[in-house]
Amino acid sequence: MKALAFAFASLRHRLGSASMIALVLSLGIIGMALMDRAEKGMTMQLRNSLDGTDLLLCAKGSPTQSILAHVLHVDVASGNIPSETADQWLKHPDIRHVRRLAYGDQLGEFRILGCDSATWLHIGESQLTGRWPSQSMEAVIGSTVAQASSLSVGDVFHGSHGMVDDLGDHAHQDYRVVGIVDASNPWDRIIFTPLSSVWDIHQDKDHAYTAVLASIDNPMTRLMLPARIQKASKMMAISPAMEGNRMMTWLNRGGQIMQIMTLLLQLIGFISLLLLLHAHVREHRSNYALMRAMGSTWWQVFQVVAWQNVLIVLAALSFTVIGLLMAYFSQSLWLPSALNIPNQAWAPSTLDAVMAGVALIFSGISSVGPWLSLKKISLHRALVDA
Amino acid sequence: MDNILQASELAVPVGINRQLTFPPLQLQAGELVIMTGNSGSGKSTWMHALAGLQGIASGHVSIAKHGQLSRTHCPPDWRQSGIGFIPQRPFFWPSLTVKGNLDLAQWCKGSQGDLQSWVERMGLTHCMHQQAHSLSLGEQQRLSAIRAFSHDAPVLLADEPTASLDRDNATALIESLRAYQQVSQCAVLLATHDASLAAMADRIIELPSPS
Repeated sequence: MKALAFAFASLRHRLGSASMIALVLSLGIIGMALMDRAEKGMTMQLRNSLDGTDLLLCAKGSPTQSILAHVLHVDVASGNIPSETADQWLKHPDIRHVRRLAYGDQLGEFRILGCDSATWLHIGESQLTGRWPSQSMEAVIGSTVAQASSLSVGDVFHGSHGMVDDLGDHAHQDYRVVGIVDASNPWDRIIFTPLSSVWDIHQDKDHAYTAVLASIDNPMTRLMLPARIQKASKMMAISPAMEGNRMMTWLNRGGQIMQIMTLLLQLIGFISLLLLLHAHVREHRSNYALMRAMGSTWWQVFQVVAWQNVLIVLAALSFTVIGLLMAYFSQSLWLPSALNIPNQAWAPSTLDAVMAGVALIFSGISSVGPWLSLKKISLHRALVDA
Repeated sequence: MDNILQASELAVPVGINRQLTFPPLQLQAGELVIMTGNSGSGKSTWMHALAGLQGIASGHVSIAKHGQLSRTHCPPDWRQSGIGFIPQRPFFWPSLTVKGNLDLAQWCKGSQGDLQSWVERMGLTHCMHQQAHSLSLGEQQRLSAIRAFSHDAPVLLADEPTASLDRDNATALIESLRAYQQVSQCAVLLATHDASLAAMADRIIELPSPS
């Protein structure tokens, strides 16, 4: 451990440059680790949200926007669909578990979602405090909504148009909170109310839906029905699973570009590590010559040289852990809640171990060059020229 | 008295097709030999060749171990060379304290000897936890000497250690070397330009100017 202490002392002498290299290296590793987690998180979110959803009916528009709006609840809907037309198609014998949605207003940044009891069954009751609504103008709020708006069971609130109050509100029509659901994303940011609440407030006599989600029993119907609906109606009918896969493909392509950039960052970090050590042994060759003159073996010299690189990489890995923890605790600030990376995706992965292992192995290997250059120097010259 | 170091006529390459040749040398236990000579006469080169820091073209160096002279290789097996070395300019490991530099010296040599008494005798106790680079030049040279003592070497080579010191510090350093010699009975070869130190020497060798 003496070698480690001497290497540490040597690094303290050039703390600025060593820290900078550790930082660059850690940024590269953090980038890779975050990309991996974001990809895993996105896949998990989509899989959870699309589970049991084979058909999405909504107003015509962008399929991707529709997934984001009606499944992940992070985008605006492109319009409403007539309930009569939709219900006609929903009578198909292979269709099961229909969930009808009608977007209401907002409570601050949180969306009021009119839905039928099938949605509540889909979410379940295991984490519900209170009960699901039984009549119009009753609401169940997600845990994040409850926390942010300080609402609890029995409280009342009213919705407003859009994200800000001055767009107009429905102050004369209060919702009453009858339950709080501590569900996972994206439901924790939603205010659930019966469809009738939304229709009543907006005096919607046609009882329009914003979207309908359903599962389909028959694989062939799953494949054919969306196209048939598209052709025969003015509604958009898409297979969320297929659109989800398409979204993931695009995200993966974007992710690959990001991965190349983070790899380049790591490469720059590794080259800097190598150059820093080379510059250090060149500048301090007299010290290493003196180590030899004092009786050290070449193995001892190598230990001192290599530990310096290993310590920089260990610092980089520490920065990485700190960076990932910061990203974990601050993700709600830079990611929409529905896209927050689930806890399972934050767990240490094989890729993390591989990246840490590669970095440590490189730190050792990259010490060999500078060490060999020391072996070549004339001890006499190093001491005389110092 | 038995020789503790014996060097034949050493030829040291100093550039292309040029060699410096040095006279044969014998050092005896407890002896302080002062080597003088003009700048460029090869004092450092000879000392480095004797210490095994510099390759030689011909000749050999033998050092007594357990009373037996045995020939060293060039470069020698450092741990076995039996030579302590005080360089002209004291080098210290960056950011290490006085204690840290002494630990480093002992780790390099693999020795566990107690240097505390020498630290006290040479007046460095108060600065054990200071950065070695922050010491005065005189203190740095004394530290450099203590570091060489950690080798318990039978031969101590000192390459102009007093070159940058004032008279008082130079005298104090040589007295310390003498004191160490009395305890360890090592042979000391000291290169210097300082004629006033000659009075302290048992023997003086003057290197001729290079032709």
